[in-house]
Amino acid sequence: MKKNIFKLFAILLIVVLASSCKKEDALDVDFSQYNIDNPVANTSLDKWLTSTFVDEYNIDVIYRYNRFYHGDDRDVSSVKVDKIQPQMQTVLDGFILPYRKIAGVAFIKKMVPKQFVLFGSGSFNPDGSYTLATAAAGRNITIYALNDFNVNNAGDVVGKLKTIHHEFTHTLNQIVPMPEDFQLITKSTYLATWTSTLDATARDNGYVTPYASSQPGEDFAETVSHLLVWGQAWFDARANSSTVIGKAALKAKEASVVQYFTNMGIDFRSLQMEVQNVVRNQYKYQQASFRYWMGQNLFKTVTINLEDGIYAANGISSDFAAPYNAFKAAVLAYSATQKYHLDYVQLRFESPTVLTVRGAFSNANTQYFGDYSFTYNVNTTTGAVTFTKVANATGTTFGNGALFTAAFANTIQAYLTGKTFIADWLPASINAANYNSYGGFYVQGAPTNNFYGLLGQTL
Amino acid sequence: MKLNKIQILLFGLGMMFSTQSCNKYLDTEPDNRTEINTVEKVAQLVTTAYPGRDYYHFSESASDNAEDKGSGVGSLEEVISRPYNWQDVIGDATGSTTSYWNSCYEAIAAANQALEAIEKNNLGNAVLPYKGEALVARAYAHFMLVTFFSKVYVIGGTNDSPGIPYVTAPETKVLVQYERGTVKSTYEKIEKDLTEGMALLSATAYQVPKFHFTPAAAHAFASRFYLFKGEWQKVINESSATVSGGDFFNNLRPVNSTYRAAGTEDFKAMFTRSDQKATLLLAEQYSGWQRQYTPRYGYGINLVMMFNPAANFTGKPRADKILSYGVPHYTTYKFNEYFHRTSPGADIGFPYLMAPLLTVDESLLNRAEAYTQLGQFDNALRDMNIFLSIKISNYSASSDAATLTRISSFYSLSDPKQALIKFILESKKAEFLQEGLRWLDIIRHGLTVKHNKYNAAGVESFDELGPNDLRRVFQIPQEALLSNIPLNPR
Repeated sequence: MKKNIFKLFAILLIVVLASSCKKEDALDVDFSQYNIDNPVANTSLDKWLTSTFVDEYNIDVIYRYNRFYHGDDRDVSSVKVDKIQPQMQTVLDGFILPYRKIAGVAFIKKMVPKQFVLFGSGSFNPDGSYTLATAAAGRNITIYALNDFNVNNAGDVVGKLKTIHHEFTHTLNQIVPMPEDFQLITKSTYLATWTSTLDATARDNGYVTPYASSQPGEDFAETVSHLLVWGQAWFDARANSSTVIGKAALKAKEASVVQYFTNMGIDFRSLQMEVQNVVRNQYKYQQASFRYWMGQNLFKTVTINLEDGIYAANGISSDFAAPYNAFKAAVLAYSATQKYHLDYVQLRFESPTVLTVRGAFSNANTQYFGDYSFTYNVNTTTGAVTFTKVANATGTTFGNGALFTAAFANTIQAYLTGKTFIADWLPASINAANYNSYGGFYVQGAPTNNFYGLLGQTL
Repeated sequence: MKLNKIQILLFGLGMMFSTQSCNKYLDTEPDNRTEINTVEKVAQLVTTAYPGRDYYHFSESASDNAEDKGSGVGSLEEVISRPYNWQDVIGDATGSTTSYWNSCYEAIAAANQALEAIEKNNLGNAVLPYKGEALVARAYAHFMLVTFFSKVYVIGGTNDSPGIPYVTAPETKVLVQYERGTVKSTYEKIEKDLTEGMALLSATAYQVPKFHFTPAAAHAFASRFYLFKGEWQKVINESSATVSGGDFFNNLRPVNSTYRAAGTEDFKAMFTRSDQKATLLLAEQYSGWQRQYTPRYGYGINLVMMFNPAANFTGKPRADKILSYGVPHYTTYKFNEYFHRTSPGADIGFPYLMAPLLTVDESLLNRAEAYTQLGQFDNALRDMNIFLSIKISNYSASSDAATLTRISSFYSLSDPKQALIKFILESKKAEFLQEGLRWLDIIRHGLTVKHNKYNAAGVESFDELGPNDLRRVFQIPQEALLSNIPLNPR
C-alpha cells in the first residue's frame, strides 16, 4: 500500500517535470474532462446510500473528499468510488443488521453513528503505524485504507468488519462508559508504545492484540470486536495459548464485556451468534470455520450423549442414532448384574492425528471409560475428515473397551470408518446459549447424515 | 477655587460630627489585618513561603525533554511554544516565566514577613523551627530565581555576571529599588540563609511535613546547591543526610514495583501524594501543566524511546508507565489535578497540582555525580546500581549491574568519568521527564540543546542552543524595570 503511494507520487512527479519543460506551449485543456473531483450529484450510489442509510438510520455516508474530516496534519487520499458500496454493504450486513435484530430497532437507530466518513489510504501516524479507523463523539466513524479493500477476499471483509465493530464499541463507550472493573484487570501492563510490543508479549499479558495493550479503552474495543467477529473459538485459542495469568485475564475481560452488554439489555451471546452467522455463512471466513479449528486442534473433545435435551431440541440423524443406540443396548446387555449404562460417546482428539473414541459407562456406583484407538485426518480447506481404526493402545481404559470390542466394531466404529465426513458447526438450529459449544460432522454429500456433540478444549 | 472652599467646609462639618467616636474607631485596624504575634501565626505564614506557580512549562519546554511533534499536530500555547523556540514569554499567564518569578518573590515576601515578626516579638525557642524554615525557603526561592534568570554559576569562576535581587525585608513602599548584585553575591546570601536556617529546622514541627522544609528536604536542597557550586564533599554529605541510615534503596520512587503494578489512575493519584517516601518537598502550585494533554512541543515519539530496552546499557527498559492521549502525545501521567471549586453548582474554580520540588532520587543522583567528580568511581557505581535496581524492568543484580567498562562502551566514551557523568545525567533526564529538572543539568554542564522544528510544509530542521547562548538565561519580567532591575541581554 505504502509502496503504491510512492509509485503514484513518482508518476506524478514525472508528469510535473515533463510538462514544465514545455513552458512556451499554451495549454488548451478542457478541465472538465480531467477533473475527477467534479462531483456528479445523485448517482445510483447516492440513491442507494440515501435509501439504505439516510432514510432508514439517518446515517450520512461521506465519501467525497474533504480534508476537514481527516485533520490537516495528515496526508490522506480519497476513496475509490467502487469501494464504497461493498464497504457499506459490509457495515449493513455484519454490523447494523445483527445489532438491529438482537438489540432492537430503537437501540440501533439511536446508537449507530450518524456519520460515516470513508477515505482511501491509511492515516499514517508518526511512529510508522497507520490508523484504520477512528470513532468520535459517539456520532462519527471514519474508515481509512479502503482502496485496498477487496470484497471477494473474506479476510479483507472480515478485517473491515472487525474495525467497524471496534469503532462502534468506542461509540458505545462514549455514550455508556466502559466498566471500571475491566480497566483494572491488566492495569499494570498497558504501554502506549504498542507498535514495539510483540504479539506474544501482548498475548502472555492477557491481550487480544498488541494494540489492545496500549490503553484500557482500546483493549475493551479490541476484546469486543474479536469476540464478535473473529469468534469465540479464536478467543479461546488465544486464551489457551497464553500464560495462566494471561488466560485468566482474557477470560475476565470476556466476562466483563458480556456483562457490559447485559447491562445495556443486549444478549451478547445472541449478538455474537448473529455476527458469526454472517462471518461463517455469508463471508465463509476460513478462520471462523469449525474445520479450521479442528485443524488447529483447538477442540480436544466432542461428547455425544443422545439422552441430552439438546438432541431432543435439535434432532439427531437416524443414521447415527441407530449405531449409538445399538452400542448402548450391547453395553447394557453385557452384564445382567452390573447393568452398565452408556453415559456418552466421546471423540478425544489427542493430537492433530491421534483420536481416541471413548465410551463412558457406569453401574449404580461407578463410571468407567472404555477406549478405542483411531487416527484421523482433517483437510482444513474442504473440512473433509476421515477416521481410521488402528490397533488399540494399552492401559486400563483400553482393557475396559475390550469388553465390548465386537459391539463397538459393528456400531460406532462401523459408522465412523470408511466414510468421508465434513467438519462443521452443527446443528444449524442451535440456540445462542450453546452457539459456541457444539460442532460435528456430516457425511460428505449427505448433510442429513450427521452427528454432533458438546465441544471441549481440554482432554 | 470655589470648589475648594466648599470642600473645606464639608470637611470641617464632617470633622465636627465624627471627632467624638474618633478614638475608638482608630483603635481598630482598618483592614482587619492579622498581627503576626504568636508562634502558631508565624508557622501558618511560613507555610506560604513556597513558590505557588510552576517552572515546568518553560523549564521543560526549553530543554531537550521536549520535541516538535509536527506542523498542525497538537495544540499551541505560548507558555510552551515560546520557551521551546527559546523566545521570551510575553505576559504573566499561568506557566509563564513572569508568573514563576512573581510567585518566588511572593514566597520570599512571606518568609521576610515571618522573620520580621520573629524579630519584633519575643516568641521564645518554639518559633525557631519556623525561623529556620523561613530562612531556607527564602534561600530556595532565590536559588531557583538565580538559576533560571541569571547566568549559571561557574565553578572556580569570577561569577560577576548579574544575579537577582536578594530581598531580606518586607516591602513597605510601592516601588522599592533593587540591585541585582552578582551571581557570586547572590550565592553567598543563599548559602548564608541556608546554613543559618538548616541549624534551626525540625522534623516534628509540622502536621504534614512534606509541604515544609524539614531537615531532610533542606539537605536535598543543599545537595542541589552545592552541586551547582562544585563543592563535591558537601554534596555527598548533604545527599547522604536525606535518608536515615543511608538507606536509599527503600526510599527511591518505586518505579519497577509499586508504580509498575498500579493502575493508570492509581499511579496518578499516588505520584504527587504526600505519603511518597521519595518526595521530600511538595508545593501546592496553581498550574495547568497537568492539562497539557496534546501540546505540539513536548513528550513525543522520539523522546518515548528513552524507555526502550536499547536506551540503557542493561538492554532492559525502564519500567515506567508509557501512556498517551493518542500517539504522538505521550504523557508520564505524573500530575494529578486538585481542582478548587469556587462555585458549588458548576465546574468553576482553580486548577492546582502538587509539585515534587525535591526528591530522594535527585539526591542520590547528585551524590553519584559528586563521587564521580572526586574520582570515587566505585561509590558512584554503587549509587547508580541502587538506582537501576529500582527503575529497570526485571532487574537482575548479576547481569544488569553497571560497570565502568559497560558504561564506557555503551556511550562510546573512553574516559570513565565522562561516561559516568553522561550515564547519571541520562538517568536523571528519564527519571524527571515532565518535571523540569533536565534544564538544571543542561545549564550546569553547558550542554547544547538541539530542538527539531517543522515548518508549515512539514519539513524538519534543527536549531541549537549552545553553551554561551544568551537565550539560556530566561528573561526577567518587564515589570521588574520599575524596581530598577535591568533585563537580561538578548
